[in-house]
Amino acid sequence: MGEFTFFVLVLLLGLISLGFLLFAPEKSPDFWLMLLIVGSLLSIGGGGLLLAYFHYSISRERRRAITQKRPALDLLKENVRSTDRFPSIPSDANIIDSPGTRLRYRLPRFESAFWPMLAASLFALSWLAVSVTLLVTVVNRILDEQTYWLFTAMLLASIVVTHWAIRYCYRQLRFITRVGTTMVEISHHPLLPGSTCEGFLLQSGSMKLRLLSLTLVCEEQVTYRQGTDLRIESYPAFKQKIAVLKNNDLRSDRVLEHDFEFSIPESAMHSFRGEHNQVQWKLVVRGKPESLPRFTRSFLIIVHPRNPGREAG
Amino acid sequence: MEPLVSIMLCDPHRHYRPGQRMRCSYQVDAIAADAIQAVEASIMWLSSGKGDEEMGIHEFHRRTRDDQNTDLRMLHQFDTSLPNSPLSFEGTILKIHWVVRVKIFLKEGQPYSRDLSFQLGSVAGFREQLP
Repeated sequence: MGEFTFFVLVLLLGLISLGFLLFAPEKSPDFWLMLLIVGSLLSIGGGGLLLAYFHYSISRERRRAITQKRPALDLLKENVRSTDRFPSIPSDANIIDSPGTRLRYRLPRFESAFWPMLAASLFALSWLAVSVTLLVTVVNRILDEQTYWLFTAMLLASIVVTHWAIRYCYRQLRFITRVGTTMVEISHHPLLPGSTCEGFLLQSGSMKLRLLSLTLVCEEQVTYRQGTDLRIESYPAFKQKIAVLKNNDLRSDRVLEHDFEFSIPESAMHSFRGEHNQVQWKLVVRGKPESLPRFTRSFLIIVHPRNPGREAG
Repeated sequence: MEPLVSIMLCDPHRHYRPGQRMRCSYQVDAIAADAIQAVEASIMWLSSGKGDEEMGIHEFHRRTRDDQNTDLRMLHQFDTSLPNSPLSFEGTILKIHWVVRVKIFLKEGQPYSRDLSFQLGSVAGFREQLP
């Protein structure tokens, strides 16, 4: 009800201001600016009032039924997407569009190394620019026989930050080039509870790999609001080690290849994705190289329910 | 006084397979016919647990009081094919429940709703953790 009152007040303020603006004996020099403000008040008040009306007069279920995409159950439809036949299960379109070199599908990586690397590079470059600008300013002042201690102190601080950022960026770059690519391929998709799937793991790079493990993980993941913060929490509902590979020396001409097989448990929950909650299945590769930080790479897989009804075909 | 809503499903065990046909009927009692403005019936899933709650509507019916439909209290029946997913799930921080919800909009006062839960599919709790 508070929301309703607020928008009524905003609308009233807009209407009163409009009357004052139109019928005032003297035209204000900022007429158009005032009109813009009044227009904003009217649209915020009116729009908000309309939304509040819909919010209160239509039940949550009805709103949801209107806005929600209904599952298409039409068997005559030519292209029935997996999300139509299996509501709330993520689409496997980006999994089946990459053919593998040995097995049928190459799984896409869950997280990309590109954006963190780009962010680190931009951070380092920005600080380098700040340092160079400060350096030129300080040198000019010194040549003019003036010394600004504040600028000099800022230059020293900026050199420290720049040094750290460039070192971090270099280490990231070295890590990316030395660790190389992790590739996971599977024989079929989507997977079903109780089914067994063949897989192929390839790890390239230039490093001594002390340990490389491959795990099948099913994770419950939820997001919730706590005050103004949005929090994400995960719980590993299922975890099964598929392979543990020890002491491998990787070079440009020698990659690590491993064939494996894994099964989805008979009683497993299928993949699920809502707005705030999800159940996700993934193959997780964890590496422990010598003289380099550990790394984790995840590959999403989609698990469908075992006995779909007749809509599934 | 609150209205009395009874919801009945065709399977007394309330356990359905994905894609199975479900027949549902409901009836309203202990309230005057002209006190009801509209009745909504939904077959829906609800999430609960640690995350923000959400819902998904599979089937939605709304009946309003008009010249042809003067008494919304009468036994009303509808049927639907249940979807393939999401299946009922009892996780640790996430749970998915299926319900039939009947919501009554009264001429005066707050709407009144009643849920009847049922099970879709059979996903048992599963766990196989390594240290």
